[in-house]
Amino acid sequence: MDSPTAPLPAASTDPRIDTILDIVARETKIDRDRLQLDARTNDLGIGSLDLTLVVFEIESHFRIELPFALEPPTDKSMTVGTLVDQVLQVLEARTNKSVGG
Amino acid sequence: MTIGKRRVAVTGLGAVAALGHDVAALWRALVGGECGIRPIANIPTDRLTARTAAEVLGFDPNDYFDARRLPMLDRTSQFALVAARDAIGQAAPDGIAALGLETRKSGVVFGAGLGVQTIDSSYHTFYGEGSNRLHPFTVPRIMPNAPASHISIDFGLRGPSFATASACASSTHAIGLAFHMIRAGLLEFAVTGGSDASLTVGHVRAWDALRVLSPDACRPFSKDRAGLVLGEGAAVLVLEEWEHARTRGAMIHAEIVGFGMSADAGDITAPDEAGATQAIDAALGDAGLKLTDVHYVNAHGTGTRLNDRNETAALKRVFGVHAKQLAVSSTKSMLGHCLNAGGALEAVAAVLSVRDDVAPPTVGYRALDPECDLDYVPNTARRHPIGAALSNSFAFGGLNAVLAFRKAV
Repeated sequence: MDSPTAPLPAASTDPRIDTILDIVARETKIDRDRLQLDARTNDLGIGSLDLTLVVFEIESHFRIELPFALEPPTDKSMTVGTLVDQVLQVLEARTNKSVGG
Repeated sequence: MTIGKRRVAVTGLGAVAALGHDVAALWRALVGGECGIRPIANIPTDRLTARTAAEVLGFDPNDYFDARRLPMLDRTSQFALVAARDAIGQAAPDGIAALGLETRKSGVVFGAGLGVQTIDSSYHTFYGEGSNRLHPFTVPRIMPNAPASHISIDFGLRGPSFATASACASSTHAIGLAFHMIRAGLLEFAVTGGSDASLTVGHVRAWDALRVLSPDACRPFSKDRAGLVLGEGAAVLVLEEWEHARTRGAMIHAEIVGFGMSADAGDITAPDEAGATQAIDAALGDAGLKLTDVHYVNAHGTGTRLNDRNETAALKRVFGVHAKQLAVSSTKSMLGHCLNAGGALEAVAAVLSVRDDVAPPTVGYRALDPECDLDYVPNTARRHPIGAALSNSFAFGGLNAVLAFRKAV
């Protein structure tokens, strides 16, 4: 199943994705192997409060703020990949901003 | 009036306090006259004047809650849930579902329990450290109905449920209202009580500032009493419509028979003899008890000069010559003043005194005060027949609540 947003780099090529998935696993106590990018958060049993906590921990780790109204957490089409993609977009925006000066 | 004849049984008791993490351990310690007041261990004391409290030590929430649940629970709700499991485990050893209750007639009436430790640490993070990183569960952890809500969620109780706020009488008001709601037919089964975990440096310092804290011990009714000592904990009572409890063969600890309330409408902190008298009178009237039916009073007994003198005067005014025959004790001398949980812990002690015919003592008692001249069961518990007992709570704000319990027959 495709992620509804931009294509994602493979997990093996971007260590940040591993970090994000580690945080998701730690906060939701869901087996790390089940956190495939195309897995729907709803199917994994990740509720809105879980997601709030995950976002909080990701923000703390990367020192970023996620504009998390982008995709309502209860949206059934939300996947692990959607979350990862949103984090990466914010991280990329920060990198570009600091490069562009 | 038919509904006036409904009776209410106490079928479960639970507690977490300085003297034990379950009600059995707590009661053994109270009857043994053990004192839970010790030098403060859980928080730094360098900025405090009063450095003793009745803390719950050795309580590891991981022993009770899994890692996914815990971030949602302030210590106040943790205590409440542990005490609720203790009480409901007694009342319904095979689970609540086995009781065949209507969930819409099963509710939680609980003393308001602010998440004070969460407030304290969040303020420190936000104002002290200047960080905007507040935990996303800060609000649901702090809200004063959190203990009531978590109990309702854990046990699937879908009937009328809410939190009561009247400072140190909060849980007494909760128990009394739960009792009246069952008697009136609004509930068949109620989980009630209170929880308090507010021993943070800031909160203890605020009590310090009010100049009501004793520098060392809590010595209620003793001539050398010097103030109250704070404590923490929770207590839960399971109340049940009498015939339901009887029919299912429940173990009934005691019958709850009376509840009286009043407001001093006077000073915000100083107690008032007329207000206390009115609440005790109301409880006795509600219970239909004769003065001589009452053998034990679990006093509000804070250990402040004013409260103990005022409470003694009120008991003498209500009971007249029988006042001298009463056993009156303050378990705050052992458990500290547990604020929102105080009334519930003391109600548990009153219920067990009636069940077991033993009055727990007032420990730390040393010298007779001419203004406090009743029998305070000094330092050693006393075994004697207790047909009925009262539990008094006289809160800051002048809001008073008194419960009456009778031996189950």
